[in-house]
Amino acid sequence: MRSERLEAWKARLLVGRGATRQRLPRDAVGLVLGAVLATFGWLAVAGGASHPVRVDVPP
Amino acid sequence: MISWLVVVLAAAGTWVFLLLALGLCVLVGRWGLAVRVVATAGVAALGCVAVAHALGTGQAGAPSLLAATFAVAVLAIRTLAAPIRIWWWGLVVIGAVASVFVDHLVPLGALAAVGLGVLAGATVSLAFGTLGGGTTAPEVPDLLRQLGVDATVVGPATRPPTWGVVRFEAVDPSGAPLDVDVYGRDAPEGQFLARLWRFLWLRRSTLDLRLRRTDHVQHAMGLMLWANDRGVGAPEVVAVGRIAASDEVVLVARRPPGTRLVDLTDDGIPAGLVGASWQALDRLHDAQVVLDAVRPDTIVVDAAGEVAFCEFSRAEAMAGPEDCRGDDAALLVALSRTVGPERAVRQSIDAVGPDRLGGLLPLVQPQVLSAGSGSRPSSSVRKELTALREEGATQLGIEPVEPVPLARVQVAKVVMVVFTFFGLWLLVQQLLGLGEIRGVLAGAIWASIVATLVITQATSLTEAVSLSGAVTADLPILPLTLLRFAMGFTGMVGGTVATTATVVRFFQRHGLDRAVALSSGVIYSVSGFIVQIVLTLVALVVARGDLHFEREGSSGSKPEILQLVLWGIVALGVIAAVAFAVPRIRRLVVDRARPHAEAAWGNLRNVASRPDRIARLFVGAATTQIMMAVGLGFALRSVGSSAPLGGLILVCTFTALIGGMAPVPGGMGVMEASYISGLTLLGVPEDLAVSATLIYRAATTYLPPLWGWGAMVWLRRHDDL
Repeated sequence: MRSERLEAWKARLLVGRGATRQRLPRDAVGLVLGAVLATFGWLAVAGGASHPVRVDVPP
Repeated sequence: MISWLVVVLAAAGTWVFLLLALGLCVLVGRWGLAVRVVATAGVAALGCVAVAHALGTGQAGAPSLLAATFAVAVLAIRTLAAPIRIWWWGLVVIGAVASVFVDHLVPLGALAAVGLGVLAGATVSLAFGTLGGGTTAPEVPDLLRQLGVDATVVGPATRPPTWGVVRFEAVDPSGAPLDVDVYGRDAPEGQFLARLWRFLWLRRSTLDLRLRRTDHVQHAMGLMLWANDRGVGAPEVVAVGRIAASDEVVLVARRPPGTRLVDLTDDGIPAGLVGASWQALDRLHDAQVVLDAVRPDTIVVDAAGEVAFCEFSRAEAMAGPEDCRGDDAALLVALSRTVGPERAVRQSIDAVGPDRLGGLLPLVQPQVLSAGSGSRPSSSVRKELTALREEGATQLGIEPVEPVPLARVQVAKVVMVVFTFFGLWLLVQQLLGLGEIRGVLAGAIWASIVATLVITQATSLTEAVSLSGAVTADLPILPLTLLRFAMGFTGMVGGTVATTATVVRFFQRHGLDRAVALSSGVIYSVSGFIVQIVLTLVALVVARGDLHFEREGSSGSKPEILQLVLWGIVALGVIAAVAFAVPRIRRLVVDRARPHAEAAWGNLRNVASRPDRIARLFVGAATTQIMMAVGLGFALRSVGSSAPLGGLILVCTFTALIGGMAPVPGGMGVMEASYISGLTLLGVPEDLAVSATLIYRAATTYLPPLWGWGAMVWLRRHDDL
């Protein structure tokens, strides 16, 4: 009974597992996007284009 | 209160999320995922520590926690059910923004750390693959039930239609086969990447993007209906709909009745298969539909010998003749694989005639089979296609046919360019030191750099004048100027062949006969070469006093070694240019000009009999060369040096001459070496010559493709290309 409840809970929370592993297009996009963000972000920081945020959050 | 809220959000979106994700993996027994999550988060965090150390900004410039969080988010959130993923991503993004304020981070550094996290997560996902990335077979009956389709699922198809789309095979109660295509979360990215790759790789391809999965389904569905309406056998649309729970779009289509060519046995091949296949494809092309997936497993033939097509997921409407020829070549290959090359060629000649088949043979190459040459090794496919081309040539009684270049770039050329630049960079770094060059560039005079850019780009106008002299018709100067800008782009991506094709197409669009357009393009190129040779010789006489054949530095010193190496590169460039240019020009004359020799000769006579055209042709080209030399003078001035104009003309024309013939796009590498050597011969110190060359080449070659692309788009929109 407890095991059934656990399985039902898992089915609601998680996606079903496929039989085989797949390489997904979203990861190819993520790889390129991540590389671009990291490269240009840190190049800009190295060039002095961005500084630490000094905003005082109101209490 | 607000302060506490921000702190709580920052913690919830980072630490709490990390612990929850790891805890969930352990709780449901996904041990492999848990190990990957920990390892990826660790690598991303360490990467940030290294970057922070290099930048000297501390964690504020490269926050490890954000990188680790996003790496884990990329890996773990996809394992959650679709409806709750958005909430987890929301938590992570809000947590990251809150962290920027709470921890006083550098915003761009935080963004870069997020990028590193996404990069790490995506790399691990690509390396190991994802379980549960798409719909699984047990879920399909439920999808079909929701769409009201009564069918029995057979299993996943052996080959998905495109990356990111999952196909299942099913059978309806009458026994007819169904294709169930599930366009899930990854379908738009898969289509986008496939189209982008095709656009970047193949000439004459366009980047037509459809970003929503419903657009893809509607497109495929519309073309199936259109094909059926035109009497071409195509799948019949059974049902289509969006599944709310999984947010997937599902298309169910009934395959046309019959047997796929790939399943035919030798004695089951109908006698009229080849002819019927060409008829069916021609009907489809008459409707301006191309499939881009003509293969033995996508063509079916029924008992009556009628041929139909069952793959429309990559199809395009309103296709031009070039796209149709790609399908034609793919059909020839498919038929060859089904009935054998000899029979396929013989019956295809009967069906479409020798001229059309002869025109297809150069297209029989792996690129036209990009939709699915299957898992066969590329060397075996190349051999098979070479044999098919030879069989075609033998039966047509013509010389063996070479494949036309379809790829925009050749890998060998790219490798050559990369290595040439890498070699030059290493040489300059080792022998002069990049510090010196950086110092010179940092102190460059911006006004002179702008002047270099303006003057060298203004040559598009003088080039346009020269182009207008190559034809007897009156062409408007503005589109011609834009054409010259566009040639900066085509020259970079496709070399001389692409540039010539662009010019010829432009002339054709303005009503010139193909032979006249081709000969005008050749007249323009040849006159440019003549002007360069004459100016080089004249400048050599006039400016010989400006040349200093002196060694840079003392004997055996590093500047002297650099000087000798650069001369060596230039010499190699000249040899390679001649070696590559002579056969190329010969091929151009034999393959293109000779069949239209009479018309081309007539055009040349017409141009030659018009003094105003001759004047435009040569004055335009000469002015271009002089302005380019002035531009080089301004590049020198920007780094605090100068050289006599005669010497600069010599350097520019000589370099343009070998750059135009060199077998690499834009003469990359060879031209840099030639400019640097030439300027040092004019007495410019090596470090200044290198810096001036970098500025000059950026202004003349590496930046212009940016607006060249814009010019090309404008010309295409206005039907000039």
